[in-house]
Amino acid sequence: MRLDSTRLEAATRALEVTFARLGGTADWRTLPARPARHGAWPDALDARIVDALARRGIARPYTHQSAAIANGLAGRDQVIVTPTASGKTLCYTAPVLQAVLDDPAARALYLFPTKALAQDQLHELHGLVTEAGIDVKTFTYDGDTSPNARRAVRTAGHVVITNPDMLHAGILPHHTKWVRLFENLRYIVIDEMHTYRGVFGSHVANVIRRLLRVCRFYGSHPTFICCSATIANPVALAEALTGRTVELVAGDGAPRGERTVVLYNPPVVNAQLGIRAGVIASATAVAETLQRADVQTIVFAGSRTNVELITQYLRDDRRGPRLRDPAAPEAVRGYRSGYLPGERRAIEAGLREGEVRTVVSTNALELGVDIGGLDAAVLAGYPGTVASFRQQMGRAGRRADCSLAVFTAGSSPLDQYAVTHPDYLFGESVEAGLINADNPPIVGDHVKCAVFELPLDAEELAALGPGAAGALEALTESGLVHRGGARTYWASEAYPAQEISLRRGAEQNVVVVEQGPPPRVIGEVDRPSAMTLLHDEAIYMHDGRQYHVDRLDWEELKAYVRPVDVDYYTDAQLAVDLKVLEQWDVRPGALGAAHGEVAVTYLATLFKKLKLDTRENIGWGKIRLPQDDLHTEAFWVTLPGELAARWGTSAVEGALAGLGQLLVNVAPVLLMCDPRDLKLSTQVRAPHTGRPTAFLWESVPGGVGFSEHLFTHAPELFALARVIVATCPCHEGCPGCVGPPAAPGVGVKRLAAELLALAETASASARMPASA
Amino acid sequence: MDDETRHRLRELIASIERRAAPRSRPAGARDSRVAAPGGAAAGIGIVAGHERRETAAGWCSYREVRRAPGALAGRQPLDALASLAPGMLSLLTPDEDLDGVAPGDLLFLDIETTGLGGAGAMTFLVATARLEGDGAFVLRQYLALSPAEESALLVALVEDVRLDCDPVLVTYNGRGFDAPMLDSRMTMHRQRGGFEALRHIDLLTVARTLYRGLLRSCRLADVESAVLGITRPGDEVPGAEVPAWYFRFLRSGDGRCLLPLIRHNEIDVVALGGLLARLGALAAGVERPAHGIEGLAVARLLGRRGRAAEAVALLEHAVGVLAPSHARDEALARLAAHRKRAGRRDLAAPLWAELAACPGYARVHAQIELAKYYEHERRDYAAAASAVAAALAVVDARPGGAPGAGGEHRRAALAHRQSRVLRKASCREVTAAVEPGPG
Repeated sequence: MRLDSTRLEAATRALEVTFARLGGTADWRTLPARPARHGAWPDALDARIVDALARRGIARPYTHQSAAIANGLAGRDQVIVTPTASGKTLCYTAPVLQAVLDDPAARALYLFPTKALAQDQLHELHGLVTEAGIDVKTFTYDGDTSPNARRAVRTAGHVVITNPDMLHAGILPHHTKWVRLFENLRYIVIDEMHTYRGVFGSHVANVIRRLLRVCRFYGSHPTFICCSATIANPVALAEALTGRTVELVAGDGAPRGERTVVLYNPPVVNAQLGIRAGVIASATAVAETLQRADVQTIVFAGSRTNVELITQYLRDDRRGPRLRDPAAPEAVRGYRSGYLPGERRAIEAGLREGEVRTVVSTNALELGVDIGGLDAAVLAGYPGTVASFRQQMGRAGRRADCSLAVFTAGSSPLDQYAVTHPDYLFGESVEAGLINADNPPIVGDHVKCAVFELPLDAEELAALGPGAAGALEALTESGLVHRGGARTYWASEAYPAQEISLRRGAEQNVVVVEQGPPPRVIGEVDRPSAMTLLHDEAIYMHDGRQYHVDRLDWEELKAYVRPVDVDYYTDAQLAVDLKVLEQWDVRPGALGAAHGEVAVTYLATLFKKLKLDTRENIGWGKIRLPQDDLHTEAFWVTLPGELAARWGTSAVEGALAGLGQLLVNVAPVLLMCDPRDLKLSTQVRAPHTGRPTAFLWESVPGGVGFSEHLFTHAPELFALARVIVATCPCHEGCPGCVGPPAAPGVGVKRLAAELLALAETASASARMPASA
Repeated sequence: MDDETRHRLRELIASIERRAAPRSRPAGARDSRVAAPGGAAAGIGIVAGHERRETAAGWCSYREVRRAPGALAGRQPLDALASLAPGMLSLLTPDEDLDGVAPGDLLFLDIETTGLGGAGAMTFLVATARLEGDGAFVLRQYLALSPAEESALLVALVEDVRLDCDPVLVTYNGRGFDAPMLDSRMTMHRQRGGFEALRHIDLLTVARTLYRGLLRSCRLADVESAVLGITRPGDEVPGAEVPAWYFRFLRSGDGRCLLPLIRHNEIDVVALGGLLARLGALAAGVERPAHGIEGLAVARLLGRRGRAAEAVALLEHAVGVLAPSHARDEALARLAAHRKRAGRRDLAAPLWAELAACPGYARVHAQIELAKYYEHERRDYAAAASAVAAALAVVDARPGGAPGAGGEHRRAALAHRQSRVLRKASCREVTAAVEPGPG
């Protein structure tokens, strides 16, 4: 059933009632409809393909498809920027089908960031290929491929669908078994390209360098077809990943119906703590309202646990009608990693056919899994980036029909910033996919793999990036390689790709268990936060309710809680302590800079019980938890020691925090890394420097060289920070500059700017700022 | 490896690593590193009778050794290979078409590599052997003195092997390792491979059929020692340490690091010749097993190939000569199974009875067979009942119940059998009571 204007209006009225009942604020806006813009099939495209597409109901391509297919056929490397569900599969599959028609030996390699996406593409491709009546064999090759099937994939597969990890550890090191693929490789498709950023993206860029080297060895020169969600720098990212000059295909030609968007901010339920009504409760209420209005809805729930919780709540709500008709299919489904492939396929089909009315998902359904268009999307909390926000919203809307999207905000500063700054969400994309393919430790890893794959000569060394020569020196010293004449050979029993992971390990969370009976999981909390939120005797706030933590099992990462109704809350400060182990280099000055090795420890020691209305201290307790450690590298900036005397301690504290936030926001731009790769700690009087110090430390254990790079380029870092703070349109600070203001009236933004001015006169004369 | 061997190897390593790297040696110094023709490996010498050989892809090292007719591999004369008929080979490897294969078509092959897989593991040493027309066993060895020489090594190997003449490979685990590895390396050097496509007698598969569970392991060293009586030299380098010795050679340039590898590789390929000759002759009945274990091993193979009569003869002999052991229990069980299949439970019963007294779990199976025999053929339900009870007692006494997935099922089946046999036994008592006695 289409979501026409009548049904939309009914749903809208119902939502208004719900928002009124819940309280809080709802900001309604309408994004206008846009008609389809069609192009023509490129002449070079075989009539059989055009006919097959027509049979599938695709009479004419959209403008972006037309341009992308023409580029692909002409062998031009390209990046296509399109939103979800705009027919991008056709953009890269049409040239591949043409290549196989022209030469049955031709091959293509499709890279997807996850196994699940690869599976989905396999299905979509099978459909297209069967219809076209062209003998194109498509296979996925990943950890799930059975050993018996592998040989067939290696020799017979026209299209091999895999992920970067498998390419890195399973295909490239065994390239001699893939001769057919590498000799005849015409196209490399990199879908969901925007997910390859930060340390992961930097690794992937190096894997692609290795891939191209193997292709050169076998005499092939494949064309790249990259697809990306909307980011600020698609061309730069594509070029950094592939090492080629790429054409940009933007301007989505697919039609879009009118979209109604609601930014909903739940009411404050605890003014002292600034806590708002729980995002799960409000998202559930919204989804439930849409369910009653019979609007097919996808709810993005952030974490796996939240998926289960919301699914459960929504099902409970439907229990009445379900009991009347036990034969009716389940209308509310969860969807996340950990579900079996068959179960996922069934849910996807149920969505397409309309049997499943509500699906609650992690970001697993954010990327291009084919579920057709739904009527509405509900975002339970901000997904962290504008790109994800838009992709999740884009899941609602069938071609030219109306659609509805509701974002319910959580209490975190980022959520609050997003919900109160629509321009940030709907304006020009500000997020860049940043990588540093020449990061020395990462290059070092891949030079190892490259020598293993093929003996290395001087020319190839250059193709592996500017850092490769240094990495090779180190390898030679380690005795892992043998230099014979002009070439370097692998000379070790080790299998380097196995020891090198492209992704960091999954972060561990503590699961919150309400003891019941029956016991049930109500949420999960990341490890460092759990130390202060879920210690024994803590009052844990979850979804707007109070729970007492009876026991935290740190070994099993489980916290056992029971609901209570008390007039106090607990407050434990997590001591994130950073110790400098070794300072490698220092640049003195009014705004000093240094870098070195550090140990970061998380330790919770005491908690206070505070009365809810008066914040009066009514007791305290000890927290007995082991200390968590991280050994890594850091870059740090020191403020003049005399500042406190001039400005007062609280102003210095605020300015230090603001400057730190600003630097940690700007550093990824300079480093071309992912924001998550750097963390901030500030110390008003750091033991190592004796002065107020902001530490930017690398969240990857051992560091990957970012801090050294920051030190070397500290003047540029400060200059960039000055530009940002001077041009940011906010008044008192926002997530994009010095951070949302902790309290109004401190003037953190101005103070940070003054501190940065110190760096401009970085000479010996340490000039004090005039104002305080 | 014993302590003395370990000590000797350690001494050698120490003496090699005390020496300076090749490039810093004074000019003209003479030792095992004689200048080699074909330049790239300057300073690296000719080792262990290897000579430099030039190919289209550059230089490698090569050696040819003729073992005159009558030469032995352990106790086994190698020229016995000449009397191997295709039928005998098919007994060992039934799934290959070996019709018309002459002994001269057999290509014994063993390779040494720097790792187990992936493009980074290279082949640096290959030995082949063939039985020539005059009965000589001719060994050819190809050696790469640096990774750069691997390409030449492969070219020389293929020149000699003549893949187009369709030889039959004889290897130890070559189906899984040597043949695909050679093809992969040839791909690395943009040469056409073809070893995997050859017909193949993989003696590891044969050895597993024959000796699984009867020897310490089915590694070549254990099998050749049991079958041929080969003892490796005291300073033998174990297979797992081969790559480390080659890398040590690459670093030091000292040919002494290669000597144990060259010998190891040579012994391997000679052992293959001996193994095929001996196992082929045993399978064909041309030679008699030397002892009970060997008889049992050959009986396993023949039983699997449907040669029941020969297998039974070997098993009867084995049961007679073997001391009580797992091996003898197996021989008893196999012999009993053959007799049962031949419809002679009466001849099998004494074997089962003997097995029923053995300490292993096999006695449960024997009791069950006895129970069936008593129940269905002898209609002696009391004896059947006591056999079932004995089997149940063993199953129940075992901690954790009967082993394996079918354990519960087996127990239930036994209980069912027990109740049936007991019912039949009581019926008979009743019948005996009501039937009028004679006269």
